[in-house]
Amino acid sequence: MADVLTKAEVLLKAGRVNDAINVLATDPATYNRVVQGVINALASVPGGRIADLNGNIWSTSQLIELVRQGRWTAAPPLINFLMAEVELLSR
Amino acid sequence: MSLELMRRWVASLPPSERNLPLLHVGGMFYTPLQALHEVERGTSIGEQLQKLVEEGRFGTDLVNLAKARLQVILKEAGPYKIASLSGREVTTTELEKMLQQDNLSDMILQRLLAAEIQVAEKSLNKAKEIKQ
Repeated sequence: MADVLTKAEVLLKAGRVNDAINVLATDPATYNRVVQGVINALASVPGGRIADLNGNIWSTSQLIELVRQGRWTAAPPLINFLMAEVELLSR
Repeated sequence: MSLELMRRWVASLPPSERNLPLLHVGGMFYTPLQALHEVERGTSIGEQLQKLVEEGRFGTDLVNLAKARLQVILKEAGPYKIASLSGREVTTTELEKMLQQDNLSDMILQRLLAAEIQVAEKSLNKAKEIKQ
């Protein structure tokens, strides 16, 4: 698990989101932990909505749905949540 | 700035201000409460947010910040009209549309954006006051 998370973290920091997700997907148990972690983090966001630099306002329930569908790149805020979760799990 | 100071800073802000976008990291705006949440979780994004607060920076330019704040305010305010002294009226829906189209020439919109910049600066300055 640690190896997959380290690789994913490096790729995410390099802005290679799809590659990072592909690496995570090679270890389904780790991927599921990341998904669950992101969903929990989103569910606990104060205010329940997030603004991005493109002028969108996302509700956390919308974002959770995108995570469940594996559409990580559909909303810029998801990258922040993915990065935070990978980082927390890799510690 | 320690976690305790972050907590004191957020607590010093008016409740409505705690839930408005203020800081920007990685394509996403964070409200003071969301920033505190990230700091409490101990993520590197939390560290970056804490650094922004310490340094009195927003992480993006003021116009982008004001636009994000106003978008949230307009969306949550529901429909109403704003009138200028010249007698012109503009609805919140029209203002939202202007923001989405990045058409910032309207005088009423410019005033609202300027007001948001002012409030945002005041909020961030509170962190400095608390640190001293």
